[in-house]
Amino acid sequence: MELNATQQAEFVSQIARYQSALHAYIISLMPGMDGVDDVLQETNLVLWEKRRTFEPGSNFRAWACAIARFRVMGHRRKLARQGFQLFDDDLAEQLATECEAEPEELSERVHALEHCLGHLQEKERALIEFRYFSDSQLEEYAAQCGRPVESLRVSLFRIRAALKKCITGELTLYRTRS
Amino acid sequence: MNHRELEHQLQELFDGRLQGLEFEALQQKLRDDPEARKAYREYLYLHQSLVFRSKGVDLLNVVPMDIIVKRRQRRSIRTAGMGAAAVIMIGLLVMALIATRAPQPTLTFNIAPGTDIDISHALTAEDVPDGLVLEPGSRLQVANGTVELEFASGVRGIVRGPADLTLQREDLIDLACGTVWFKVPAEAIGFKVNTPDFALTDLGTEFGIISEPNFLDEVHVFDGKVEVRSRHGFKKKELLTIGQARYAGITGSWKETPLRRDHFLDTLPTTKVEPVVISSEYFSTSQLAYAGDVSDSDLLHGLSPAAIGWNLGNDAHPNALSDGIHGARIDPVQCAWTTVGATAEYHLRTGAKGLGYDITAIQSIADWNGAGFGNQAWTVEVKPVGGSYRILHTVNYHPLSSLLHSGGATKVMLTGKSGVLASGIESIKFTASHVAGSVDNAFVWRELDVFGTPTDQAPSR
Repeated sequence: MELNATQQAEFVSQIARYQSALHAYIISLMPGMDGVDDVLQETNLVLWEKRRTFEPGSNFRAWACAIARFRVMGHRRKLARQGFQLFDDDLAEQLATECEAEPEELSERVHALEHCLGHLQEKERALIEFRYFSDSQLEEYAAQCGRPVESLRVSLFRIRAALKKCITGELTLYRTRS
Repeated sequence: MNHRELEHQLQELFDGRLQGLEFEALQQKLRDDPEARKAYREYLYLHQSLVFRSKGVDLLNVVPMDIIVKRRQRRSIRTAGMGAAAVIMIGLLVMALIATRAPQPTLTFNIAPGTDIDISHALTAEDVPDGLVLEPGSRLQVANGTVELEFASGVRGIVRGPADLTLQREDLIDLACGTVWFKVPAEAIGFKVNTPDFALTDLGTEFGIISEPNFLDEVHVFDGKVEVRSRHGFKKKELLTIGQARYAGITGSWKETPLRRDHFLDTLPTTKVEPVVISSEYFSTSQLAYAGDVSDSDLLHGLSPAAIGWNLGNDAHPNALSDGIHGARIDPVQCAWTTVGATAEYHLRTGAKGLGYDITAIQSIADWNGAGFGNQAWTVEVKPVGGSYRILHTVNYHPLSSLLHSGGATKVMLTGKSGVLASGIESIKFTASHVAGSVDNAFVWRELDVFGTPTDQAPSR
């Protein structure tokens, strides 16, 4: 039976609430691979198509992740046929399970990230912004700023390691305060 | 594999650059070592947060799916098994599509006389569109003048320069700066505008955006409703409806500001628009640089304003705006302390001939000993004898850094191109807006001087 308007709104808000968690779950199953956004979108569509089968009050994240997992596995098989190197299924599933997080944790992480980005120097921040906000290759940025690509990669490594350390510290602080 | 090598390989993995034996070695390490899996988790979430931060708004907003489907049909785009009449994430907008060439350009534009623009395209060679056309990836910079945007989706926009925008998708514009009005028809619901301070999703409406460098971006809703999400701090989301205006506070929350329809054009001017008001702006890192410029013989001198919404802390008072006394470095008694939206209205009366006053110049001085309080942002409105208020000009002047502990001052002088700013005026009203950087976006207003003479003959109507 079709959901009424209130139920539909509630369902959509559940999808929205778990969007970041689903995104992370999918990345954990296919790290470094193209197509994460596609899989997320396909998952959203399937979630919507199956909305009538979801039992209100049951674990939405578990249900959504199970659907996402099927989509990822299909995508992984396709990538494997194309010759991409993938973690074996057991390890991929183990990592995905150990990496599960609630939306609240992800929200805390985003806040911590914002805080830590504020500590970066302007050039460091610009490099991070380029890497994650632009569809262009690092080679283009290297040409723009007159630095060798490898030098930029080293900088990226150092900045991300610093961000990771900073975020860990911030999360510890949040949890201590709360 | 030591910890540094592990971190390096994990970063390479999430960058999609890890291959061969190194990939196998990392896989083995992750199988065997729980600590390595913890590091994997940390880098996973760092990577995910950075990616999500860059496109989070796209992933989180909701629009009716049937509208998306209709839009695709109109643009002759084939989709892969889309269900109709569903309500689902906007992220689905970019699901696996096999797009055929659109039958019409994504966006065409027209320019007003005297407009100076520069266009660049992401497409290359024979794909570069001809004429006044933007396709996804195209960037339009407006040095000055006005541009009308017409999207294939039916969205209309009027851009006032200086402006810099990039069309990302048929339903998404990145606005780096500029003053833009948009009208979005029902079939284009879900249209988005990203600015440096916020991301906006239209929910069927008419709205304006002001985005300026070193200034907090504003959104004004004239019809319908929009959803806005701050890019800063707590990234607060707010649903704005008709008649509401907000600016994006630096903590990520939204703050009220007066609705200003007059800031926006909704039609393309047919003649070159010359500025009626000439704004001369000055700043100094010396706080008392303009202390000697205050006037004790202007039209406001001796008048007390009808004042609403001022911060009266530390004995600051809006009466100090027109007292002709600048005051010492730290002298709150001689200062007016603004809040966003605070107003000071002066009744000049009708002058010697009962025709009001010709306003020839307005001078405004702000300064403090630090924290950006010396910047200034305000709107002045004038009311002709027997008439209604109209906006004369808006000032947004933020040259002083909030980190300038030594303080600083700004002075703005408005004059008219014809020598007269406004004629036949009986009342004048100032509304404080928000400056960047200071506490609560307030500033310390030292003096307001309005110069003019009684109007000699009735203005032609």
